[in-house]
Amino acid sequence: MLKQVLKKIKNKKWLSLCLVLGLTFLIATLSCHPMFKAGSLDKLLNRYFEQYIETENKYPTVLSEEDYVMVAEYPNADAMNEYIAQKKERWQHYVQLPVLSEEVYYYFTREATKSTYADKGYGYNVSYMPALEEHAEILFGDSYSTYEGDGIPCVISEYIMDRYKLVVGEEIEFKDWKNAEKETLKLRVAGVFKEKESDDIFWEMEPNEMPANIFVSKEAFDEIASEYVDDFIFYSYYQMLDYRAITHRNAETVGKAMTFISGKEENFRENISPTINQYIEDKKTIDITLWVLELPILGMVLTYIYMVTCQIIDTEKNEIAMIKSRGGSRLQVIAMYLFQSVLLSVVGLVLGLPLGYLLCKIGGGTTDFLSFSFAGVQVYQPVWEMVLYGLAAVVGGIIFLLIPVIVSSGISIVQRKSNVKVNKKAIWEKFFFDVILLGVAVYLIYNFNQNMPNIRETALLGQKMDPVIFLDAVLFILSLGLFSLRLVQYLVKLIYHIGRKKWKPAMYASFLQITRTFSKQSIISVFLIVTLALGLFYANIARTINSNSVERIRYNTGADVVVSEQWEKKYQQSMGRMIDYEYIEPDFVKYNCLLEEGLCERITRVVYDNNVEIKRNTKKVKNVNMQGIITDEYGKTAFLKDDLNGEKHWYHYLNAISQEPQGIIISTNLAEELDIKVGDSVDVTRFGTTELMKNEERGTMKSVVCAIVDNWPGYEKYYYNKDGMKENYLVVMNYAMAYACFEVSPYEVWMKLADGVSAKEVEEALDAMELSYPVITGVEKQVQEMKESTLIQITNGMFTLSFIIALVLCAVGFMIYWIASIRQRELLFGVYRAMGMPVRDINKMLINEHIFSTLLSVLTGAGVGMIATVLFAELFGVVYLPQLHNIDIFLHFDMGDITKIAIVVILMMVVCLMVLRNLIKSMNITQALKLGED
Amino acid sequence: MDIVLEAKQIVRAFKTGAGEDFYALKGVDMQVPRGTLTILKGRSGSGKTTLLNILSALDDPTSGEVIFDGAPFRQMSMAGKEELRRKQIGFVFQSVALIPIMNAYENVDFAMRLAEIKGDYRSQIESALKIVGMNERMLHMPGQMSGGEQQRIAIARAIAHKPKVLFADEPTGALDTESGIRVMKLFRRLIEKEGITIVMTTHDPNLMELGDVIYEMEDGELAEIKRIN
Repeated sequence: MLKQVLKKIKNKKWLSLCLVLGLTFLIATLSCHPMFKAGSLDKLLNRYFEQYIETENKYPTVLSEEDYVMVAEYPNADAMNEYIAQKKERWQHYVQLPVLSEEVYYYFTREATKSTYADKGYGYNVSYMPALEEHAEILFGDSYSTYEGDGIPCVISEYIMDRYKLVVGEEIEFKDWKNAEKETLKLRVAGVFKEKESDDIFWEMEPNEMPANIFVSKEAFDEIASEYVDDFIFYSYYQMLDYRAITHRNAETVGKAMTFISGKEENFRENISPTINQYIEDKKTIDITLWVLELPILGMVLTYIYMVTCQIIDTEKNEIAMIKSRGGSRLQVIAMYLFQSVLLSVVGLVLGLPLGYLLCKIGGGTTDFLSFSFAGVQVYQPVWEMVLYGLAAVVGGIIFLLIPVIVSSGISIVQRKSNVKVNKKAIWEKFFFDVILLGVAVYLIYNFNQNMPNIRETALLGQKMDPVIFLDAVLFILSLGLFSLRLVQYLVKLIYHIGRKKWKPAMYASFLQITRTFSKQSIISVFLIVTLALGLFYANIARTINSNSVERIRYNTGADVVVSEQWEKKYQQSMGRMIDYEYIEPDFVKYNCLLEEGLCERITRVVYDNNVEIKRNTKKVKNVNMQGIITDEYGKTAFLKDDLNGEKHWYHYLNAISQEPQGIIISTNLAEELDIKVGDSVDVTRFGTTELMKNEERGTMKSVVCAIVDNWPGYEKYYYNKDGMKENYLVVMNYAMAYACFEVSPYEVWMKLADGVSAKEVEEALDAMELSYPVITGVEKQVQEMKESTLIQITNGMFTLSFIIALVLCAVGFMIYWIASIRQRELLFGVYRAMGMPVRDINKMLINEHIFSTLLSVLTGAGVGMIATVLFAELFGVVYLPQLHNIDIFLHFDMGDITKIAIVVILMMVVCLMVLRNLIKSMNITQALKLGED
Repeated sequence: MDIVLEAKQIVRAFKTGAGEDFYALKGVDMQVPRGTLTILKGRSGSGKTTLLNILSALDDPTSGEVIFDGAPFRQMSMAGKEELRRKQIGFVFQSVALIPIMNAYENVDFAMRLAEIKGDYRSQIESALKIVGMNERMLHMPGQMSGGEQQRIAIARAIAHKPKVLFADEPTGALDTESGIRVMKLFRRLIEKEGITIVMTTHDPNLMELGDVIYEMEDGELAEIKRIN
């Protein structure tokens, strides 16, 4: 059988190649799933842990316990070390993660003390930390191990030194602790220490966070334990685990271990669970997202496989019927094809697994739709499940391969001959499935649109993905594709009928060819339409989501980079007020170096406050956001999309307040709330900027409303808190007035970068300026973070992959398929030529067919893709960007994507035509006719 | 005698796989009188289809000359020969070779369009179908007809535009004896009624007596064995 099958494959080498291509892509797409998922989940975990470090400024995976034991049971440091070692072993048994560092210390605590230079007694914790000297350095004096003076030496942190006003050499006497000789315990401060390295993860509890700990040597600790103390030894133990070892494989186990240990050990503490719980929540979303985004690709590839198989079977129907007529059983036929499928699948598996790996790297390296950066793709590593998924793909592929075989294996030669129907309608066409499915899809769109607030709410709660929205998009594309195909068919029939009497032979034959083989050809047309439409749809949706996110970030930030420094406050007693303060403005001139170095094009100051009240007559609105701006500089630094305030450019409003010192610009919602019109007078009142002073009035300005705007740089109309969505109000005034009428208060520095300068360069320059606790908000960084967020990354990755696979299948697959199907018509071309039809006419005929089948399908595909984009863009926008925003979800098409599709399609059609032209040119009529005799 | 088709010293050589020349026709001379049924007989491989292809301008001879109604093929361009095939020649192929996507009527219509017949030629198509006895089934697709019926449509298609010569390569080859004889009788009727000249190949000895001129081919050479008065 092997020989026979190999011969069969060789005879149909092009179609077999097509099939291998399909199987390879099927296996690649499926096997890429577990690798992509694993990589994405690992990235997600890593991101959470790093975010934790960034926001909490703490190590993210710490197990700890603070408790005490009886001295009688654990009489010295060694015993305690042993106790802790056992604890570590017990935890490790459940957690099984590498321990990167452990901070542990034991201490005795006593209130009644007396030191040399202080009368008051403080409470100290006399502690021993085994690894102290390894991780600390002495600032003043000596460590206990190098101390050579009298008494028992101890070392103290800078904090203890400051807090208890202790100095090196001072003696601390513990009045309650006496030995057998009734001598009190006395410690001598030998030195002051601090952490050797500030970023050493060992210091989970930093020396300056320990409230009363002073440290002695092991010997001293043992001595105190045996001679002075008889009750408790307290201990603090922190275990820093390697968070990089927490991956998708063990995250849940680690989470369970945390719960388990917490249940068993009362004083056990850890900070991993919240992260892991968040991860488990998001994991579901990622899993669903991946499948939902992958399903259409899989459907596409499976359709392709089915299509090619049908084509192969079509050319082999006679052979199958012949085998049957010669007594071959149906099972034998199926077995032959099964064997063939297995053979091709093995090739597919060999090629598909590496391709899956490659696809995953491409998907993982996608930073934006169709743009890549492979710097961080090492997180995507092959996993053994890929083989499993690959094998599942093989099984699926073989089933799809065998369906047409099983159908045709039931037909004998006699049935076959009497069953040659030319114009049999496809099932979907006959039973109007396209119309029914389109109805369902449109109904779902209608429903989703009606339900938009709910979808928004669900998405806001973090349950980002409603798979039905995605699947409805695919259903819509498929059904509209089919329906359009039906219309195209009617159109071709109409054109044919209109010119029926006039058509030259070439047109006559080609129109009949198209209309009579429409159903048979419809599968390739559907494939072409759906693939192109999906490709275009994905491109548009990805572009839409990305550019909406970017525009929102740009809008919210207001300028390329916004920096705010912490201003120092000078407190003073004041008449009538408990405490008053005055801000000390930091040096602003220092920012000029950014202009001089050519990093920034413009810099401006923007006074910002959100504790402003606007009052008109008796009505007032509190907590209005205020911007105090220098209009000229502001206009050149900040940015706002031109079309956001109706027909007027926003500079128009800037000009308005620049001419009126007491003029203000207010937001539309504020105007509505207080019933304000342009020209009205209102009172603007500012309050204190500190928590203590927030209800203290700091001044009121009588002002005139110069303009009412919907949108303004940096003004976010909507914000969300636990009670749901709220609206912000805005008032913009002249910088000079903000200072003249109110106190001097912190401003933000807004920067417009010079051309070609990256925000990173500016950030580095800002770092070098040693600002006081600066908060730097840059558009570039936020955009990058947005694109790195797992959901956006997966979406971009999968959309890009789908687009690429669609184009490859369309181009290579379609080409080989079409040419192979044309080769079957060689006899017919021979007949045409024999009857005297010139080569030129045959070319015309094929071009006409190409136009009415391929080109119309391509155009239909593009049209369907665009319609789907228009209908679904807002829904997808709401799913991905659920927060209401000043900038409504807008559509974004990138001509580049459409050009890419167009180039591929044109290339594909040109190659098809060139191959056909050569085929026909080199065709020998007499030989072509001989084909018929055979 | 009015000669419509004449072949002079036709030689046709093919390159074999080993690169040598194989002579399928070794200098054939023949004449076809107008309004006759000329039969080329011979075993398979004797060269009769090759000769028929050359006579009908489907293939070019290696050397020698074919003159069709006074015009030598040698002087005709490719387009000229194509026009000749469209307008003055009709074909019935060994493989029935109806166009599967067209029904009987459209198959004939297609040939009429190729021959650039102007005006309303519907009646002409119908009468061609009537001659072959298939006018009742003109809307049927080829797949819905038997081999014999398909061959009759092929004949109707070949004669509808009233060609000077009808070439038929083994027109009865795929038919049972009775259908074969019916086709031959049809040919005779066409010659008598329409004045067409028919050149056909066959290896069926039963059909010989229906021919006017019979040539026997053997090993690329021709021997005339029967000629009418």
